[in-house]
Amino acid sequence: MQIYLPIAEISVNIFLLIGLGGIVGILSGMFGVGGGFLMTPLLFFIGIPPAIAVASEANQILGASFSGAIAHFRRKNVDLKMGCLLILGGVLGSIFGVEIFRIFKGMGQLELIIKLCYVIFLGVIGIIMFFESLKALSYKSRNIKIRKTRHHSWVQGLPLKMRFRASNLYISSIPAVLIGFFVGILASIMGIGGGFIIVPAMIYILGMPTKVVVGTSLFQIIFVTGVTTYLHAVKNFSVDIVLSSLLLVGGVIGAQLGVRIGLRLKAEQLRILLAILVLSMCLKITLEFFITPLEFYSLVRNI
Amino acid sequence: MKLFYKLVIIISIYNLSSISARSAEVPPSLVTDLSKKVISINVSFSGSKFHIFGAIKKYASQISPIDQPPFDIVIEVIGPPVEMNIFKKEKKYGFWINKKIQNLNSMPSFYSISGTKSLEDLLPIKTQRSYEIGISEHINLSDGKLKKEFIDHIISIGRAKKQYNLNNTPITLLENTLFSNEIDFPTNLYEGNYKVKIHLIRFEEVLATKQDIIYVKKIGVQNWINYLAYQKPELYGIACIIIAITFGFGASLVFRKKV
Repeated sequence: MQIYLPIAEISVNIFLLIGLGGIVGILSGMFGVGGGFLMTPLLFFIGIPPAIAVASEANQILGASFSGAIAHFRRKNVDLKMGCLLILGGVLGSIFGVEIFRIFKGMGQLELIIKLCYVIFLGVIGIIMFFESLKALSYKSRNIKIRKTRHHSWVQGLPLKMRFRASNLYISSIPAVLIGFFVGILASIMGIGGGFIIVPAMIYILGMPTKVVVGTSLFQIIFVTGVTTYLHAVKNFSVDIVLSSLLLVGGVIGAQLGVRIGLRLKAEQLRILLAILVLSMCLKITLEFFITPLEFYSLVRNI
Repeated sequence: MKLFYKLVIIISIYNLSSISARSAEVPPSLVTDLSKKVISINVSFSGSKFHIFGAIKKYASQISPIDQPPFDIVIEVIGPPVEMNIFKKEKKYGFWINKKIQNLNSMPSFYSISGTKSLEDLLPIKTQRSYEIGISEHINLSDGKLKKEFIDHIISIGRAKKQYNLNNTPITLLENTLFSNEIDFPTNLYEGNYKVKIHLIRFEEVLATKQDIIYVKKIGVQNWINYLAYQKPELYGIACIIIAITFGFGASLVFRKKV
């Protein structure tokens, strides 16, 4: 059954979209990753224009992260003060990112920028994931050393210090805003939540206790993706609500299945497959830059 | 049943044309109709078809066999104009990137041409131009000098997207009078008025042109989404946020009970 996507202006099979949402949902449930960095490139591959894919995906992440954020909020696993700083940075980053998006769209280079960002992002993540899972496989029986890196010295030296009771920290507010800013840019240009970056950054740079990290990052993600959705809708007219709703339908069901599968199977051993998937997507996008195109000319509608 | 009605109409037009006015010097004209006047795009839209049918209305002197060389028909369907930018991929720093070439003032969002023969065989370029028949007559570039260079590329992109149909099956002209033509609309249609132009041609001359309009509109949810997204983007943005949150919240309610 075909469904016409009103903003993307193409017809796509409805089950393909729900299925994609479902598969990415399962993967994100199994491995505890947000699905944005997997879903957006898959949307490119099925022919959704990159600008629409990115903006609609930001909207989907908002929905997908919302239930998790509520759960963590109820359990008081959210550092609200830190979250607000991250959101402040995130919103500024999103405004900045959407503006970059608009400028490159006008220049006709948006697709290039989005895809370049993806090549770098998927490449780095894929490689890290690949080697970590190799390490996990070979050191399975041994104890893994837990790195106890509390805040780095340069973070200590920054001004504008604040007290964060939930995290039991007294640090500068500047790195939190900067991290938020960076993730906000990524959300608006790549359509990802950025949990992949913000979680390690909170642990290793800010030195936050792991208990509040996931809740606080989800808290930040829903606000930043919400603002990103709004800005893309207003500035770029690129949010396709039919697309994001269908992906959500598949995604929420898939995520629940994924969590159950992840509990039964040893996800660590499967993680290497996810790494290979990420690397092959990276390769596919990279090749598109170098293969001589079939059609040299393209037309972009002037809005 | 629909087809039967069409036949009845066509036959009655045909009868009408054979007994019509006697005046010898009146040029032949066209009587045409469309099977649909409006095409609605809803969420499950997967393309559409419509028929153009008609008859050549001839007068006494033109009916006599000696004075009856065959007529030719050309039918154009021209979608609402859209403004586009054209880009060319060029190799830079080792990989292919877009280079903006220039602005297009306008090009039809849809174009289809069909005829008893191909347009090139029927009319010399000069006549095509003076009557504005043919795809290149409807594409306007802001810099007219560049037209020659880009027009073929624009047309080939349009054809690849199934928005331009230039090789339709030839129209057959029954008894040198009756004709009908089926037009296939793809899924990626723009809203607006689609001009249907039917040209009657003989001896490299356009004897008559009849223009009709078919209106393509988005209806239902589709129409709402488009209206909101482009006319009230602030409201649309907020609606998108609320819908996504509702999905997330709904999911957490549904699945919490099961766990």
